Amino acid sequence: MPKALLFDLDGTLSNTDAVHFPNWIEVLRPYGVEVTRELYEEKLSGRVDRGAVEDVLPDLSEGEIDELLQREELRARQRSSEIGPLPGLRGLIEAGRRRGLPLALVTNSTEEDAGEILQPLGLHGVFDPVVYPQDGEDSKPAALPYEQALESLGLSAEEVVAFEDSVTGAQSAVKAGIPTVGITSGHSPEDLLEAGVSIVIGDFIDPALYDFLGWE
Amino acid sequence: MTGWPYRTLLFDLDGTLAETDSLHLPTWVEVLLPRGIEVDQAFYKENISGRSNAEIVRDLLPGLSDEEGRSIFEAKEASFRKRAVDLEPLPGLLDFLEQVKNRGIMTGLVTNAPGENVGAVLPALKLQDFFDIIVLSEEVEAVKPDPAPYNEALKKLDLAPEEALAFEDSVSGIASSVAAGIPTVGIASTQEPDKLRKAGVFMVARDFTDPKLRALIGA
Repeated sequence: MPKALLFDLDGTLSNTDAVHFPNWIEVLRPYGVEVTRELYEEKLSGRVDRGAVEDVLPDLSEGEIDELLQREELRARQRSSEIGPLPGLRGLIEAGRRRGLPLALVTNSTEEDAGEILQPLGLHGVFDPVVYPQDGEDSKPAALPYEQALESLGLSAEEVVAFEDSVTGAQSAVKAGIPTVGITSGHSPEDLLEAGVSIVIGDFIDPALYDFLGWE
Repeated sequence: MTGWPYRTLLFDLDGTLAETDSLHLPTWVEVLLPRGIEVDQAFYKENISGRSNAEIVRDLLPGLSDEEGRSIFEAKEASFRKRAVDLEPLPGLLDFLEQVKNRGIMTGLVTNAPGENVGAVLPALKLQDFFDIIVLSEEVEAVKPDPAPYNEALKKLDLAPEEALAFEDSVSGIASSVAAGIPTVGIASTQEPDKLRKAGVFMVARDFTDPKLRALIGA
């Protein structure tokens, strides 16, 4: 049984698709773009960045792209506070608490962004330790962030379990040697399995997770 | 929503409720210097902090009879109690304890400190009569890191280990609560956070102003 659980933040604790698909529909409508499922999956899924906007709206100025991204981000936070954490996450946190396990966060988000994501999900103050990206150091998909978490916990890779929803995140945890659970909130099961996850689940209610952890 | 519904919170005293090392250190200097042992910060951390008086005296002054040993640490404790009036609770402690009480969660003190010291320290922290139970190692058959003091606390409260949450600042204290099966929070008042994690805590806070602690009790 694991001695600690290590969580990615965005998309692992909340449902990325449920937030970002309706969000892109809303924020791209004023620009005359109709976001279909196909367009979303092909160009927008798993990325909220300049590249995504440039792909869809190649004629926008830098300033307009910034404005659009800010609007996307604001509305994404509002949506995620309405949607809440992924089903079963609160139960998993309670089960971890009952066992006295560290629940760590390993994220590429800055401390400020992480706080703004956790607060509306009602998950502020739950995780410790938290590994944020360090200036000049490798971030995911490199193994370093997970290695730093293990160092902090004083545990070896096979003593913990990681939760990741993205290919780059899964690669990071797997490279660190950590048994990893893939959450399919934004990526296909095949992609996550290819990245090396041990098991794929859609949310934390799936009893296969508790079998995997060896918990009653 | 994200806290486990704990029925009791159990607290160590020295270093957890208040930073007492700065009082203990000069008292050890006072009693050990005449015996040719110079105590500085590093020596204190390595050989004294978190250990029982009997162990400390046995290790540092091996040739002494039990009675001589006892007279040394009694002199040391008397000097400590005189200084105790200057103690302050760790930042945020009193607010946090008030929220704990408001939520109907029971509280206990589990300490290796001599009863007389507890009687001197609690009033200085404005916590006399606050705790529902107090377990003194000297009244149990073993001191921390043995789990006996925490087992005794659970027995007094008639609770299972997973219904309790312990707060400890030292490796030996953590060893005691963790061996009793109690999920433990590390208070990094004297030790590095990672050292406390390695000793077995599931969370580390610098002091009681840390919002993580409020989240734990659902505040």
